[in-house]
Amino acid sequence: MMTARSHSRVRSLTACVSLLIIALSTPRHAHAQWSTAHHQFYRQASHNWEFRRNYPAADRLFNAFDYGHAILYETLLTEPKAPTSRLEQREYDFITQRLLVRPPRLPLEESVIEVEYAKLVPEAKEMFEWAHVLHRQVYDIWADERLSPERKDREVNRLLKHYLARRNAAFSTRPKDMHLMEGQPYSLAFRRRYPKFNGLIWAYHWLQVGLYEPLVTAKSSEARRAGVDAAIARFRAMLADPPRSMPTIMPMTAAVAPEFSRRYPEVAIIFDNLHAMHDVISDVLADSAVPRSRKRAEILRAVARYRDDTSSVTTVAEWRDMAEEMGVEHMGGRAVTAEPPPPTLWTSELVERRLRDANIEAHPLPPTGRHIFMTIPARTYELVGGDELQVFLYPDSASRVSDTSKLDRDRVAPPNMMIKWRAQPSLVIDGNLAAIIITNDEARRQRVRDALSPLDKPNDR
Amino acid sequence: MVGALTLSAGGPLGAQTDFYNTSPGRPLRVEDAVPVEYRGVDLNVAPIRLDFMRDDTRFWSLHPEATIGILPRTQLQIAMPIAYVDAPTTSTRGVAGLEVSVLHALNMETSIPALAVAGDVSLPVGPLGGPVTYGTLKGIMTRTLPWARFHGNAQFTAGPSTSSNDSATSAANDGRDLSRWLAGIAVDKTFALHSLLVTAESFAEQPISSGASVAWSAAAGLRYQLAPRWTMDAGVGRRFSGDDRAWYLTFGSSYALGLR
Repeated sequence: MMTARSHSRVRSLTACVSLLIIALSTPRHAHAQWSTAHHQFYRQASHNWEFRRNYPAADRLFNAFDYGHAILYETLLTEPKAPTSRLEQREYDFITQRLLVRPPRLPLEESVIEVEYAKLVPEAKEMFEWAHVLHRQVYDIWADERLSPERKDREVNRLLKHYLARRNAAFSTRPKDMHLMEGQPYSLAFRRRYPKFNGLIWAYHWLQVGLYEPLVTAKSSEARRAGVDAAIARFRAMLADPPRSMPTIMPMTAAVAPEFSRRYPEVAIIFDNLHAMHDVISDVLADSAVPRSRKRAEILRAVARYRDDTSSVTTVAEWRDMAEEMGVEHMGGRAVTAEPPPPTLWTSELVERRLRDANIEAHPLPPTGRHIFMTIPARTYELVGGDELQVFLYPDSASRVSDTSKLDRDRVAPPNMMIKWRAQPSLVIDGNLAAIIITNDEARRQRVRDALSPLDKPNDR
Repeated sequence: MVGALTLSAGGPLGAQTDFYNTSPGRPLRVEDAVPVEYRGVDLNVAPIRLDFMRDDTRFWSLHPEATIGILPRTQLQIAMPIAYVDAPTTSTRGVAGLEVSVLHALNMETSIPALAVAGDVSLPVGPLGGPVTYGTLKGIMTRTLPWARFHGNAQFTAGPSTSSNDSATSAANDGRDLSRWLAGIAVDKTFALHSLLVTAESFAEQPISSGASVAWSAAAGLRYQLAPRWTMDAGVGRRFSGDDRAWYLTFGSSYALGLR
């Protein structure tokens, strides 16, 4: 039971904290702003959360992306004099080595990470959130395998209408010229000072639009899944050697995801305006020539330009041309198409080229009879020292598997059959190729083995 | 019927981050100034509160409620508490009123704290709902700092005082969780990467019973996002002074959906 002294302490503590709240609540800036921005719940539909359900790895990556954007703005705003290593090293390493490796399981409450930024421009933050909801719901529609392509088109159009109904929170569907992003006094301030983190943000944006292409172009759920996996792999490759491996110009949806952009040009333009606006805010926050007292006004001015249908507007045709002319290879590349490329097949020319490239002398020998345990004849090469290489080229992998699966790999013979080889044999298999290396020279065996695997080295096609 | 108004500060609320949006009793009494999103619906399916009173009385309360974002920055909440009073010699149970409240956030937090006003009406519905309608006016403020968030609540309830000598009426009023006035503060800390909010509060209230002394309470709790739509909360508190000193526990979960 509590004593009178304890009661007194609780009351005193409460009073002190109350005074603290009042003190903290007093606006520090004379230009305190009254904001009536508000949040709105996402559109309810049967496809809600389908992307999370079907593509959890990609979905979780987007949760991690939320952190990157938020910590960037908060750091630029609250620590303008921090060394560049604060973002380029400390935060970058945390994001790429921890957060992107084990992304959060749920979307983040960004205002907890970007506290001061969220209070500086809640209007801009709400525009981003509303556009991110659009992003996620378009993924949901295309991840829902129950919907036909025609139904998906109708759903995207409904969603777009729903998005645009919030005029104060929606980006324009009219493309904007590059002057808006790169021709302002503060332009390029961020990317010049933080090239690595800027590349990370562009890699984010590449994946955010690049994922649409396999979703839209694939003809089956398996192909969609393969395409999404490939896009994620491409994204991760962008982080392999920063900033060299990263996009060097802002990824534009028309170039990265051309089929998606053709199908939904207004949505694609919204995403480009969104991503451009991200860069503009980074520049405003990073530019020391824009004092803290003017940052809100500058951001709101830019926000208004990306929201209206009149400022720096260009045509859709010019927008597409611009995307192509800037070079998709500088943006991270065109998003992978959903259909996997046809597998490369081994040919005798490819085998001989591989051997030549590895400086292995191999002279074709006249055809001999077919092995009793193989369904096709071998093409035989004589190696140095009388060693031999027997190459079996099947029309496809399945045919090759049909033969080699019956063999004892160590003896290169059927389990119940004794074959007398003139030297130690070893089997190499890859795709439609089976090869038997017959030699007692282990170094030579390894060189030949290395030359014949794996497939899909550069210039194989 | 008396309308009640609440002044509160509004912060950002994500559809998948409901754990960040506290409401009365979920888990603490002091709430933030953030309404449910426009066109959002928050269903508190079976939030439970258990009070351990001094005289071996247990007070159970089930407080199902629905909150709807009916307009931008404006929510409507409807609740029907069900109480069970388990005293050493008697017990009583039943619906303990019908509560209807409206909360309107005046602004979104900038350099100005988020502010909101709320009005609440408690209707005499059910066997423990008492005979009288009460109305409450409430003001709420939220201030967010990089390391914590602070909330201040102040409210006043209009309606007749009850007699603390009448145990049935007292139980009914307890069921409706009424105070003549209440003022309190809360602080919370969010662990964003874990979708977890830890919070604590202290508040004073004047019970609606005539002649009752002011009661001071302190509590702590947490809110955790289980899934994009599901949030759970839990809290523990102590009423240190006043005539009904007690420990209490709360536990609940909410499900978020939207209007079509």
